[in-house]
Amino acid sequence: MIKPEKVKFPPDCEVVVRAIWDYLDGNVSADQLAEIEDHLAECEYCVAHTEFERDLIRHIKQLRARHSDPERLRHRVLAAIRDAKSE
Amino acid sequence: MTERKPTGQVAEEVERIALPFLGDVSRFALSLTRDESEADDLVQETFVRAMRGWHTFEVGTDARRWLFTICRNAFLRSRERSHRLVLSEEGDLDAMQAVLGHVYATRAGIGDLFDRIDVGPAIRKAIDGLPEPHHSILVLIDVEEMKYADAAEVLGIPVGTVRSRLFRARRLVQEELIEHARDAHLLDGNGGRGAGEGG
Repeated sequence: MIKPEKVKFPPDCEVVVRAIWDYLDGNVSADQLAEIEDHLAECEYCVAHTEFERDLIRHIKQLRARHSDPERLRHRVLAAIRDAKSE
Repeated sequence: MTERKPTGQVAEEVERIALPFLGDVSRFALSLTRDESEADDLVQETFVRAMRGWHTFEVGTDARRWLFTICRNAFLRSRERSHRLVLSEEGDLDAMQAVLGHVYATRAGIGDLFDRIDVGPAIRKAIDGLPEPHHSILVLIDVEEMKYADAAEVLGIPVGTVRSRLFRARRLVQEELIEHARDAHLLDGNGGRGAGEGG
């Protein structure tokens, strides 16, 4: 494993590096957002990192599982609810 | 908690308010069990428990979140998985770690990975291999698109813990993806394997 404490990022980049997922999840303050976006406007490396992490999250979101027979499951659950009702 | 309603009214409300979330619960159950037959049993158990506990549900609140909580609790009970992994809770360090992984992998040629291969199967495998509770958190936030606060309620943990465990889960998925790229000979040399470990 890489040891982050042993790698020095330029001080400006570290702001983005530490907050990258908070930024992508929309969980940063207005001040942090401005600071991050100002940095991204100037730093091609941080733009590349941000795009990679954004792509990763986008691909994860696309992996919603699908039931092979949702109608059968619906009938089964409805029957269980109605059985429970008559208990 | 509200006054108990007649069973017929409960069944009608469960069908009208909870059943529309059958697809969501089914997907979540499948992500927990990773087996469709077992997931179907869990879904049925969830809705039967929902009906029995309907007096604890406040109509007008988030039924999906409430059902997910029941589903996960039923799953944990069935598996007796009440234990928790003891891990550090340093979300920003995991974020840094992920960026470092990308830095080294980029040097080895991973820059356009998402354009070069179908990463879906590798990401699926990585998610399936995540330990609990990281697996559930990633599914709730990234797949089911829940807010941190809602996932925290489903899992019964603080929002800060959701954040740190989510970041850990994403980092683990990213590391698996980079490992997959290396195995597929899409990376040159030692890139992404932690060059600079001795740093």
